[in-house]
Amino acid sequence: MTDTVTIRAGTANITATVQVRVAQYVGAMCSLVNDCPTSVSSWMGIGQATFGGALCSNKMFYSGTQTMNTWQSGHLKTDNESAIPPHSLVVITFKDGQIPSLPSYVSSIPPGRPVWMCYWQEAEDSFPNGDYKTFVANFIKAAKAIRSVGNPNVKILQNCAGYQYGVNGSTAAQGLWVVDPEWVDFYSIDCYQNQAAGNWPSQGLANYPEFQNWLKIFAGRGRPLGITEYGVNACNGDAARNIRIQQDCAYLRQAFYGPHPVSPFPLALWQYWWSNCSAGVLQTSCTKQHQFTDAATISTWWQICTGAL
Amino acid sequence: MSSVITSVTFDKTVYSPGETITMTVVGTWDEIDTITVTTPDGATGTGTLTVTEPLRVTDSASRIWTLQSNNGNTAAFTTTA
Repeated sequence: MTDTVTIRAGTANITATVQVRVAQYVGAMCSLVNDCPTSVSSWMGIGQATFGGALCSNKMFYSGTQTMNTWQSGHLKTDNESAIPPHSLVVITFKDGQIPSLPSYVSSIPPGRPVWMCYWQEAEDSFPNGDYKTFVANFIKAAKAIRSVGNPNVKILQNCAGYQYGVNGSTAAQGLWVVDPEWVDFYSIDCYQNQAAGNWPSQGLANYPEFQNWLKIFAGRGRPLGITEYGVNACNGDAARNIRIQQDCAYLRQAFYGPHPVSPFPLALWQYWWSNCSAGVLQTSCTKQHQFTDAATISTWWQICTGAL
Repeated sequence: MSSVITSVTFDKTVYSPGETITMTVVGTWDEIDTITVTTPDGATGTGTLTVTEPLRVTDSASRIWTLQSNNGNTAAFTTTA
């Protein structure tokens, strides 16, 4: 948002503007248009070209048996986190197969480089058998491994799946997946407005049950909050999506910086899922297509990245 | 003295919430004046008077700007983004 500052001395005065981003980091996960997967090369190429070089965060996924060796060797040869500019935040998610490698990987992250490490992102949706007790135990084990290195710029993130927080009575809605803040530096949510045409939440994040319920569970735990994945689907058209993103930006400003903030901390992160690729599959239904290419919405996200909105 | 403000600059173009914003103001304005006071019984004295119209800052976001330095030609203010 652009704020106006006026300086007066006697009858002289001058006005200037100052821009503050809605979140400490604003970015996106990017793929080529109508292509898979999201990648660092797409983030640095088409992503930064589309958004004027203003993206300052990304999220990457280690899973299965993928090797987690060092920061420098990277995720995949074409998807190397060390290529991301050093001022940008990188969210690294991993699963059980990577836990033994955490000490060496975290040790290799350059000093001052902001990195958030997350065990089993969206666990509420995908952890085997919905076993939240094992999830929490494994999370703490991973957190201990990360902290044993003592790399102060590497933080620990619990990255929640939004959908389950909108399901009444689910284990997520009951708060059973919460990892104690002793082991967490940031809490975040992946939150999509994926409903069919006409069925988006009427006011966006402001009255979206999954987001609001998540806030109720996590905002009071003494840790900053973020939105690690955010997307508005294509079902209502480009113009409506553009308006919705602007509405959500205005809501987040009011929610985090208004007279009754939902959290004592600034919003730490807001990232758009700028891709029609989901879970590694190119989506053909509008409900899961999030990659806008119209100039107006591109401008909107660019303005959010630069603090103009 | 007539005050003039010639420029305002910030140390960054975009800020993250929670960051410190430093603003530098350049121009000419009253800083401190010296006056002589004569009392009704004829005694006199000399002292300093800080002018009552220093630089004033208002912010559409209601931030509180704190004056860090001021020499009459350059002033620095800070606040939290």
